[in-house]
Amino acid sequence: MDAQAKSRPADAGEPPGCTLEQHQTGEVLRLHGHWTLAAVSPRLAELTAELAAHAQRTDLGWDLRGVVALDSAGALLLWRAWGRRRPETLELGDRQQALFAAWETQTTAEPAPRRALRQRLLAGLARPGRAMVEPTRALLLLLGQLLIDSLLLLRRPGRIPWREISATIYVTGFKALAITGLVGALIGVVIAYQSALQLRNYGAEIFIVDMLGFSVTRELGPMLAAIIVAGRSGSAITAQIGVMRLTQELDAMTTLGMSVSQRLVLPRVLALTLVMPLLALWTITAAMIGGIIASELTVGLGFEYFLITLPDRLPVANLWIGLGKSLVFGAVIGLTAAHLGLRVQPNTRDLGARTTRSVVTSITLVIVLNALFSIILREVGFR
Amino acid sequence: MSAERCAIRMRDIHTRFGDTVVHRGISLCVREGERLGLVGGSGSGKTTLLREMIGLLRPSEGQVEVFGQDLHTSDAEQLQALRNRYGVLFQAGALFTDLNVFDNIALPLRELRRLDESLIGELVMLKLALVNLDPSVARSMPWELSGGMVKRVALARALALEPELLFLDEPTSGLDPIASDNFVQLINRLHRELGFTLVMITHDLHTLPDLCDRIAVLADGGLVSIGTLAEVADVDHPFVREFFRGKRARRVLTAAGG
Repeated sequence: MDAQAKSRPADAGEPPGCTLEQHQTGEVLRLHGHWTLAAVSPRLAELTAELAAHAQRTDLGWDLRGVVALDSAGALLLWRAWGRRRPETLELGDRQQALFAAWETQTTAEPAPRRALRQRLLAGLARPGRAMVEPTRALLLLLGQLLIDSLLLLRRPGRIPWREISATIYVTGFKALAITGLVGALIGVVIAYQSALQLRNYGAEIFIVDMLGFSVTRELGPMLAAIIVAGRSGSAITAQIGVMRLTQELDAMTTLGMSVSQRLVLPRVLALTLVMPLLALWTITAAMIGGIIASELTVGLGFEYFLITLPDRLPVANLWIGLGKSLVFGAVIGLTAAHLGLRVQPNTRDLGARTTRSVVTSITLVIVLNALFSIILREVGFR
Repeated sequence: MSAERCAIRMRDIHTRFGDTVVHRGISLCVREGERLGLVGGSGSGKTTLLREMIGLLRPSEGQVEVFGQDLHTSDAEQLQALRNRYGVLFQAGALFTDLNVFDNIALPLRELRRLDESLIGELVMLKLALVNLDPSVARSMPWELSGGMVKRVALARALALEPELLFLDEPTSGLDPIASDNFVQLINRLHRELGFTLVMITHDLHTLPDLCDRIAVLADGGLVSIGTLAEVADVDHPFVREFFRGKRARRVLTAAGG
């Protein structure tokens, strides 16, 4: 009892209770105290049982006028004990009338249950099919729209959203220099170190130049840059456009005659497409430097050696392949992010889900495309 | 005056955000059972004052008592017990997106952890009926509702714990005049039936005469006046003149018979 008294402020007053009284007309149950949700809930089971026991006696009269406070929860407790109808003798205060009237008119119908599990499972099976077709169609539409926009803008260069483009380049490119540089350099160190350990077994340390050069310029540099950009800029673009949709800013733009795809999507996609090769180049450079430092420390192949041999060993086509891939990665990340942002449903849950999906989808797409490029270009760039 | 019972008593409230002074010494008493409207120009600190009453914000100086209990010296358990005695209707409803209407209203009841589901179910459906919503709405998600319905569901949630004190933040904002009138009638009916104390922020001159017993006017960081509409409107202060005796106000208030 102590704990209950404590959880209720001091002026909660008299707890709910009842006493049997003998009147000339018969026995009457007098209720007193607070019959409110807060007062009733700690002793729910006890009170329910007590009321049910009294309610079994049909000759018993009920007097609620002594109740200090009654609310719909307290009334519900009594109403249920009475079997959802008023007992024959019932004395109520004025305010209490309305409470029981509310329960009298209240239909006991519970809301319709959720759809049966089987139905939901079936719907769930049908969903992936639709889930693939619809977004693909929308993505193609967006791509087409962007092409049209670009052509229109080429004819009227004055309307190209330079400010947006340059702002996006700054945020997605310049501000990503530190992280991509760090990640690139560390990966370079790891690759050089691991290859050095293996190649040393065959006395082939000098081939570390080839290992590092090919893997970093062709594959790892562009991939790492793309994954980092997808994580930090793709998600940001989805969230930004998504919030603009939530706050009806997109609707406002459309009403003002501003094209959303021209003013929001195009500059971002364009900026990412421009920024990605530059970031990839930066990451490749950082990785090469990291690798050179690591090979200098492990097998003693120094900076000079790399500078002399690299141009011979690594055809420059590899760099073009790496940068060309980055161009495509940038466009894909920008498109995916903008596309998902535009399709955010107006609620908070969907915004989070789409932002996550934006990152996962663009990284997956980057890896898939990268594999495709590797297969298509397998004959190019090797001596 | 000292004999009146205060649901909320604020003493000498000062609020500062950095260099900005919002309140410089506000004292007021919200009487038990009354309907008090907070009125003031934008930036006059109405919302801040309301948040301080609810305990969402702590004033820089001063004392807030709700049902005689000091908000800032109470321990967590006492505060929770106190919170269960008041309900808040937020301006945009603040319904939980992940929960449907039924679960939104049931949430405060479930959080008590003492009621069984069948009892909760009946109470939720009664609350829905109380705010004039059809039982079929129970399974809808918040984003499927119209603005007026969101307000009603939010009101039902605020009423779930049978509060003795109800805070309304701009109850009629975003509603069309008809929906707004209906909502005002609904609140008045519930106030009559359930007998709670009402504190509300409102800009809406149309609803002031119908919805408020007393009005507190905030301006220049202080409480300019508190009293009935007629009393408040007589005060000589630039904001009061503009708000209650401007051309627009005269038109609205005479039409409402206030």
